[in-house]
Amino acid sequence: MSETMGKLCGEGFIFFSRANRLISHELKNVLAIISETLGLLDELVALWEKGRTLEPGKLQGLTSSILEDVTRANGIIRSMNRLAHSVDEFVTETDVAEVLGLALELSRLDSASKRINMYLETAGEAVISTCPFFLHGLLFRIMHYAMRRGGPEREIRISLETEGGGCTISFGGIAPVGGGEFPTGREQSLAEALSARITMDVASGTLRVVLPRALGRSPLRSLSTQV
Amino acid sequence: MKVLLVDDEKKFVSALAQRLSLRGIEADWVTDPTEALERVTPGKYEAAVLDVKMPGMDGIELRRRLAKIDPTMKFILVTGHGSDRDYDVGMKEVSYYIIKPFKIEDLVDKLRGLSGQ
Repeated sequence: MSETMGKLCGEGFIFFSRANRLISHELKNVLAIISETLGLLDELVALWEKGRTLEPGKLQGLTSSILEDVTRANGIIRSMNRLAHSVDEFVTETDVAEVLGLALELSRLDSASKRINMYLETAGEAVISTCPFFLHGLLFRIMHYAMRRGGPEREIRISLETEGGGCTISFGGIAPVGGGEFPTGREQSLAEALSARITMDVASGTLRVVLPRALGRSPLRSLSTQV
Repeated sequence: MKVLLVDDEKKFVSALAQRLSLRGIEADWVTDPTEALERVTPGKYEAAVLDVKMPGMDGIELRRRLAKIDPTMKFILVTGHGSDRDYDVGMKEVSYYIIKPFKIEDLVDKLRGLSGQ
């Protein structure tokens, strides 16, 4: 395995591990909420059996809350499943808006997302031949950075535009920082493997990822899911 | 016994406070670490139960700041993270470290243990 390929695979493991940590942490949180809500429900019923008044509205509120949390957990597991399927084919025709949506869902599991409004402002239709797994990884790293470097408006606006067969993903609302802070060599190497280009317009606080219609000469082409 | 619960999951922390009150433990709760810093005054709370992973300030940093306001306060850290490394870091800071989800009796036992009841 070449050194480049080794580093890329390392980045892939790091991304997968980080995403799994966020997912498992969030699922534990949801289970804890369900556990506490059920515990409270159980105790209120026990008190009612001993003669204390029990309001039906309170019961309904608690059961609705549990149903909401089951839906929340189901959404998290669905994201986990979609991420797992992103390596079904390493290089394939990929719906970029779908990848962007999943990267955003995963990034919102990060507690930093609660202090900033990061959302998809516009999403055009863009289908390109690329590696969806590493594209997830690159977008996830960019979102991780953007959430921690939001400008005074505290919102990161993401847009996807089609351009000459390829597409551009823009992240607006990043606080102006000194040159060279981002992207680091790690994002650059991921971008290079995806035949992509990352530019940072410090003045407007906008980071752009330009993706071509198809991968050029990339080591990712040598990856195979066949066993 | 009066305790402060700090966790960014509102539903979790409010249900926990109600369950503790049914057990005779008066529990105030907040979802924002900075609000916790505003709430605490010397002698107001015997203990605080802090989520480790919160936006803006983690439970370990919050514990350090709260301990400066009230050095007599005791702390329990709660987290959904369960790695050995997290546990080691947490246990350097506090007497008890609980992994979510947990049995409320475990938390109550630990709170009573902290207050010597």
